[in-house]
Amino acid sequence: MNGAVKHWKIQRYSAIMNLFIALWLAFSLLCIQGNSYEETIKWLKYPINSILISLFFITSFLHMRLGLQVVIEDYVSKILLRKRLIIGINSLSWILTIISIVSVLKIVIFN
Amino acid sequence: MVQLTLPKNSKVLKGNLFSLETDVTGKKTFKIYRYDPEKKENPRLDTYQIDLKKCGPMVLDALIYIKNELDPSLTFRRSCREGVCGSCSMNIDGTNTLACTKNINDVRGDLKIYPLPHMKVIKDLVPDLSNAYKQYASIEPWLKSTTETEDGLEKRQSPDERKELDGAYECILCFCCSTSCPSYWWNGDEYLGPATLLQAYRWISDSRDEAREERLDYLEDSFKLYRCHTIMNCTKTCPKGLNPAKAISKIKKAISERT
Amino acid sequence: MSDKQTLDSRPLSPHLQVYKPQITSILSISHRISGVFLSLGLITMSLFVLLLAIGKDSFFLWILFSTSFLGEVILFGWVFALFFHMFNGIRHLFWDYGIGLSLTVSKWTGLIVCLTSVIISIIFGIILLELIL
Repeated sequence: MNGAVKHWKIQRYSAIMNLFIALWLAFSLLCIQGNSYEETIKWLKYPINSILISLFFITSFLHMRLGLQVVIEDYVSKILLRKRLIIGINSLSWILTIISIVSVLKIVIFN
Repeated sequence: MVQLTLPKNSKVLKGNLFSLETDVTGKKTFKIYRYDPEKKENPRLDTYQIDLKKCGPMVLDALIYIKNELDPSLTFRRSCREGVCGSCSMNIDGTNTLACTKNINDVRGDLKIYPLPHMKVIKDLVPDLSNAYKQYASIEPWLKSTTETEDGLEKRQSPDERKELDGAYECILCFCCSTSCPSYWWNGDEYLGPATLLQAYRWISDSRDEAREERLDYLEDSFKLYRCHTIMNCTKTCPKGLNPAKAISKIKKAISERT
Repeated sequence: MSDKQTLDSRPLSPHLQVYKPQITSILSISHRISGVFLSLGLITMSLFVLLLAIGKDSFFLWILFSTSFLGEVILFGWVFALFFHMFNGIRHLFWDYGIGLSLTVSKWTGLIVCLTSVIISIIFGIILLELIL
């Protein structure tokens, strides 16, 4: 199994995961929209919420990274620029995944 | 970046007008893409007015009428005039189809004709298909088999095995589908395109063929195969009513089910 | 003229300029556009938890954004993009499984995707408005 198939498969698996998690998140955000700081912290500290939102960040950034890579490959024909953009997108999504999860952990542990 | 607009030398200019002197009831206006490689000029859109009573019912009939009666310099490919050779594929009224099976009356208003989209033009409605043919050759479109049958006769198929080839063997390689695909427009140098992939599937699904794994290995590539994003313009435009998108989907499924 | 020169001087036939918009390709590019737009939403989501983690003062920025008119419009845009991308994504998953690839079925499922994503987004928007008011 080479990179192309792996990319294609993981794109689909992460899509299936997101189907459930993003739906949960959309409705949760609907419920907490406009809440105060304290209420939002309280919501996030429920274990089910903190676990699901962390999972959401992992699968969604994965899905985003794979999706944007395909978009770049489609439209950017210069090989070097294409490579750099893909590396950029990959780094950005990993950094943001880590920042998000660390933020959630910080709230769960220290707030 | 992919260029969404036409390069400078490809912009289509206004062309000549061949008008009908008398106003008749069956008048139809044809606007046809023209490019003459002998002149150092941009392509242009020529306008021809035709009395439909004087020519046959199909777009190809009109093209032949124009070439015979109005403008002998008009160049296009044609052969069988009945939808089995795939020569007269072109962009008619905004979609790709065969001029010989497209009825003039199916198009309301002016009838616009361009060559197959996003192709290098040799002359008028004749695009350069060398890359498409090269891609077709690359999938090795012939039966690969090393074993012999017990009785030494030809390899036979059950009706069900033969049925697998339906919808793939009928392809006439007109490349209407490949040139309708935006993915093929932007990455046609590497992406094989729907026509070639449908033919790849034709050999992959042939029960007599013994090179299935090799064939799948060749296609397992992020550009050759996976530039297909199931846009489905190919299936929408196929003048033979075939479904290249479905064949490509089956190839992807076959590859994903290996190991 | 050499062969190379002839090849280079050949014009490119018109493509986007002349190809009639097809329901197939419009839905496909919409899927891509909604996906790219949702990427921005995802980045905003990670900003949301970051602001929340930093503290009450920084979270105020989020409240300012999400309760402003512009913020609400953008949030609603993400909701719509999410549902569209999700429903059309389900359609894609079925296709990858080999189901619904005929021209008629894909046309109908495409229309269903558009309708349901609009309806659900509107219901979502109404609930959102009622919660705020």
